[in-house]
Amino acid sequence: MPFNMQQSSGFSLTRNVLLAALLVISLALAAVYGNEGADGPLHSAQSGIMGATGQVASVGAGVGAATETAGGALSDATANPTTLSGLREQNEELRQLLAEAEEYRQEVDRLRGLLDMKQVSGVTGVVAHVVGRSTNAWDQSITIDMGTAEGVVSGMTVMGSTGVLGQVSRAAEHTSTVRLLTDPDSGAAVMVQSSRANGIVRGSLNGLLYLEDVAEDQLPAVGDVIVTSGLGGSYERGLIVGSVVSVGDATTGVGDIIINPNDSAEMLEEVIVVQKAPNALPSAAPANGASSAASASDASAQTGQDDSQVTLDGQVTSTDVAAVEQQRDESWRYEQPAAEDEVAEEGLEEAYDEGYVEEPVEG
Amino acid sequence: MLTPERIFMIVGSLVVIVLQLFLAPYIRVFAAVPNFLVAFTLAVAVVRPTSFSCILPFVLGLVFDFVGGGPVGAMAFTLTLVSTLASRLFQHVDNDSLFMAFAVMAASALLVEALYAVFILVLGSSVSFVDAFAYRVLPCFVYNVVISFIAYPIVARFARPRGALRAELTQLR
Repeated sequence: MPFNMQQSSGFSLTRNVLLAALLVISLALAAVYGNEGADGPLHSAQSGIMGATGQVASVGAGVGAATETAGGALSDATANPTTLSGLREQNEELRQLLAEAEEYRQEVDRLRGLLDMKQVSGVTGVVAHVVGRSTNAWDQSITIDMGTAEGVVSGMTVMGSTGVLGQVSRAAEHTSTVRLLTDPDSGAAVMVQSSRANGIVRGSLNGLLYLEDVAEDQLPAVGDVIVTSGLGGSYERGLIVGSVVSVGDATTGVGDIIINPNDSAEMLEEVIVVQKAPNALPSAAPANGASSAASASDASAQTGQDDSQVTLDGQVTSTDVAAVEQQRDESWRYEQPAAEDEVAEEGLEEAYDEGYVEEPVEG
Repeated sequence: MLTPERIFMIVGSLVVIVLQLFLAPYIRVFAAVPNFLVAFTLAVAVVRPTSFSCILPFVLGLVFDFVGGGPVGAMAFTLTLVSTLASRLFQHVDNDSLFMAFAVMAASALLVEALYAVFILVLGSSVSFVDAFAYRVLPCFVYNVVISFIAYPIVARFARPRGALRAELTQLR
């Protein structure tokens, strides 16, 4: 019986047994969930349900738009332009159309921004709509309407129009869940663009991004641009994350380094799932920072990537996209031999010394 | 038997699930996302303390776990335990005043958030409990309390057992 509505003066033994059984089942589920991997049955079921609810949300939005259109058509058919009330109705319709046109214009602007970003950074990916946001305060994630059927897989980097937003954490057939950078359990291997110092950007419960594991002698300055380093292979390399807004006490190195993200998922309606980034911004030899587990695992992960082109450009001193584009125009391109593990491991400069990489050719 | 109260409970459960899915993410205040399922369950636990069934919080908690992205089983356990405790506690402390009902709901809402935070931390989150308490437990608790206070009169209107209403009327006469 799903709901026991019967009046009773006390709690019977049956109820206590039922309560105990449900508590044990809950604990067992939590234990299984905590111990199984991302491909476990509970994770898979959760991913499927979250994807389905995301699809319902997008269908709901479509139904809403269709209802509005049908309502407008019905109004058109019944309007009487010879009367004042008819003119008022027409006026309302025009207002509605204007609002719809404004909605389309804004969407075009947003898509144009994403397209510009794709052209500037040279990333290859699919544009997805944000169809859902987390219903749980502890989970900083969004749901998008692209899944494995569209080539989205778990681990892919997700960007807004100006910077990295997060990473695909679960991919269903036609929807995916994106864990945002601001999630406390999120982390991205990054580097300070000016000093090439490596570090890890982590989210937090207070909504700020913190840069950690940076060598004390390579602390960034306020305004320094932070880009993904590609270490660990979890995020594509060379994508802008944000800029430093606070370094705590730079003289003692004590204090938190706070990053202002370039992009926020709060107001975004479309994102790009990066399937391939041509390493638009360069990663030189890893500095001596980043001593965390992430960078410990990075070397092995790095060895398998970067078998395509490495694009070098100058130091980008502004987060402005136009500046990045200008830098790219002046960039140098190199063909990097495949399967040169040390090239990725030790950095390009060492690679030149060792002769693993061809001499740069302008253009 | 499908009594009006039971129909209300079923319809109410469906409504709060829809609200949680499609409204809650968009009315967040800073980091606090309201939990309609918790508010509804606690209101029911206080309105129907003698006939409260632990099936309701278990099902709603499990729904939240699956659609919310958190550890599956955590909210089911927390909500089942706390709401049952709330209903039993309210049987003993009920003095027919609104204050006592609200006090029990508020205390239970805080306990739900705190227990859920413990689950999150035990299952591997890297945040400290102090941060968790300051940035998630307290804001969400306040939000849920407000919603449960709003939900209480609605639940009391439609889900209160008829026997209780008759007894109250008799008492008033």
